Amino acid sequence: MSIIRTVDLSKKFGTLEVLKDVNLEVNSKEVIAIVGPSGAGKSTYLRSLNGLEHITNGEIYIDDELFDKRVHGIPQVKLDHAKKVEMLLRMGMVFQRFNLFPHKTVLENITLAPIKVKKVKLEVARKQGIELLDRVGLSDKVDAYPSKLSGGQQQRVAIARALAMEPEIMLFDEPTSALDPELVGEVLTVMSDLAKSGMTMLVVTHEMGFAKEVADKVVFMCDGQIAEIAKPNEFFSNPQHPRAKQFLGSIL
Amino acid sequence: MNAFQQIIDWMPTLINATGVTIALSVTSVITALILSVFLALGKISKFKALRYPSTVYVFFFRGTPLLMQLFFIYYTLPNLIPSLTITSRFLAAFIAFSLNVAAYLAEIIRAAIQSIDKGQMEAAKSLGLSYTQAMMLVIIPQAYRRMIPPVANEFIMVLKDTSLVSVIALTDLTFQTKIIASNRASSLVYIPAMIIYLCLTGIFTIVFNRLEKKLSIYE
Amino acid sequence: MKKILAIGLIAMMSFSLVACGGGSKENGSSSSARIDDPLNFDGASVAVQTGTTAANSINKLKEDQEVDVHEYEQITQGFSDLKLGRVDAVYVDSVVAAYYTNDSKDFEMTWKSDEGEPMAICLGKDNEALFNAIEAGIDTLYYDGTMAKLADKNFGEDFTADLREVTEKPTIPGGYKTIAEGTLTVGAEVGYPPMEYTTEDGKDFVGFDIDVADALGELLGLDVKFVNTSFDGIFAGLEKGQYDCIISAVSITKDRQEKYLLTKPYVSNALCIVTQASDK
Repeated sequence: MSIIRTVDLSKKFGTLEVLKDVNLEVNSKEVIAIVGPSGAGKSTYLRSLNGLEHITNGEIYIDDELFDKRVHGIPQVKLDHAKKVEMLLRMGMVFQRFNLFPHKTVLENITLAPIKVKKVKLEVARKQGIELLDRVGLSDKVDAYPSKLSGGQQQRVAIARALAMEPEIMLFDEPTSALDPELVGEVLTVMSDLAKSGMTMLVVTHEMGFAKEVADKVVFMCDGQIAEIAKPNEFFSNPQHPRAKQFLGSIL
Repeated sequence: MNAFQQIIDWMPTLINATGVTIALSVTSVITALILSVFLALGKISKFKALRYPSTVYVFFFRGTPLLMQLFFIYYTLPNLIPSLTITSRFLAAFIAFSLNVAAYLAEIIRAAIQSIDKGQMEAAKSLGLSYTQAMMLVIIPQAYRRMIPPVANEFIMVLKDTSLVSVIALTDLTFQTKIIASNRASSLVYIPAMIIYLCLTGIFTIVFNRLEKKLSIYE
Repeated sequence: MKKILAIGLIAMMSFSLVACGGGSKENGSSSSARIDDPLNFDGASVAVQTGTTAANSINKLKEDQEVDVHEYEQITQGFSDLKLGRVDAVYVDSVVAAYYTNDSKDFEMTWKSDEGEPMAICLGKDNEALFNAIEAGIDTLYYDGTMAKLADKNFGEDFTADLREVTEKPTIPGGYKTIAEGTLTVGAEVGYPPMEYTTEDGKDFVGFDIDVADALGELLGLDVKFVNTSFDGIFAGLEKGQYDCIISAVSITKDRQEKYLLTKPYVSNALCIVTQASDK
């Protein structure tokens, strides 16, 4: 069963076509890394999945249920609001720049949405939040404000915040790109642990090591299209697409 | 010594008029703050039905002098529509100031809201918060702190602008000072009046600084 | 933050209540008694212009009576409020009262004081040559009947009668200097009909004082230029040499006589009470 499936998904900014007929299926417990040169449309694709960008054409299915379908930008499905939110929440999102709420403590960042959206009781939400912080190794930062944390710590909190909504799949939008090199490792460790625990993950990344070791599949995107989908060892040892060869040649 | 005695004699009258100045600026700025949040949200709304009226409102009240708005509410309106005759001078001034200041504050709030990183709204949406929840719980609380310095500035302007109420024969600190100066033919009275203004702006500056510090704990 | 907001709201509400309460008290029209004497001001709200003799007078009356005095920077607004019923009476110079009550259905004059404070042209102490020329000029205007004509034109009644007895044609002495050569610069607060005010289109200054100044200029062979200045700063302006003289309904008071050169009266004046017309 697929968690997310997109059919002929395309996206235009004005006349610029940033995504062209992207077809991809993410199955349960699968970890997929999306790699490719910058400007390939990787982030836009990820952001289209949970509605941060509106697609121009194509279909998005979540758990084989139609979530969005558009033709020339015009929506073809009308879900009621509650259903839409419920389906949206099956995806957790982690941003490149963390986007923690600076005026809330670490724990409040995590409990805000469970309390306000899922109507979880404060005590339950706090208990769950502390557990999640423990999981990302930050149980000592419960009452700290984000500004007092390093970038790596902030991103780990952001992961915990997304997990608090108990999503079926986690979307990572270049989660380590904004970090100093020495802080990348701690975030990747948390992500690896998450993958081992059986979480379905779709990760846009420049960390080839992570893609090689943790991902089940590597998706190579360029010019708004998927050029190649392969197992990591195949992709990194023997890329098929000329652009993929060029790309790997330039970064290795 | 004589001059000093004179100043002492004037103090009760001046302090009385200071009451009008403080009451008018505090009440109208607070009312304007509430009104301006709606105006600001209207201005950044994607719905034309909300955006256009707010935009026209701000355009009108920033585009005409406060003095004339005061005149309009107190003198013109009753002549056009007698049932809108406001007998209380204070009330008329309060209405004019609230409406006018709201237009300025709306711009301040709009700028503060729009200065908040777009990622905040995206994060809130990805967590399932509605637009209203995202605004109330995430965006506006962060905008508060950024609003304080310009709001404080606006407040101090209003404190001094209240001197305009003399046109509707409401006696604030400035008008009272002028009255004393002309009735007693003494310009000495400007000294205590200016000192009172300085005390007021001083006190309110401290209050706003405290507030800003309090809201900055997370930085 | 919530606490601050709550306190603010409470403060606002209580202030508004006070304001509204004040409103009902200020609503002057409640007193039904006819106000036809300054001794009857008790309980009434009365408009006066700041810095005028009426203002000084009513502030003395306040010592014995409960008068709700509203001071205005310009008396025109006092009449606006009288028309709207927001004050019960306007306490004002008779020249102004006459202007508002003649041919008016809205207002009536209910009282006029027996003794008045006539008005004079005011100059600085050191300006005796010009003072003598102006004094002689006013005499000339009386002698040839110009003054009576101007009064009739502006007041509809002659407030200049019986002030001066001029039987011989006066000669105007020379040797005076003005701030700007060939020009008589006159300070006035334009906004006090019918003495000095602007035409409806707002372009020109008109009124009795304006006419008198123009006539004096002609006699002295000087162009006339007006400096419009607020009354509460008008004497300071004279001291600073911003104009040669003040022709702006200046009442003769002891204070002013000590500090400045005041001509003999050129127009009579007395305090008046104006109310809404009783049949209204």
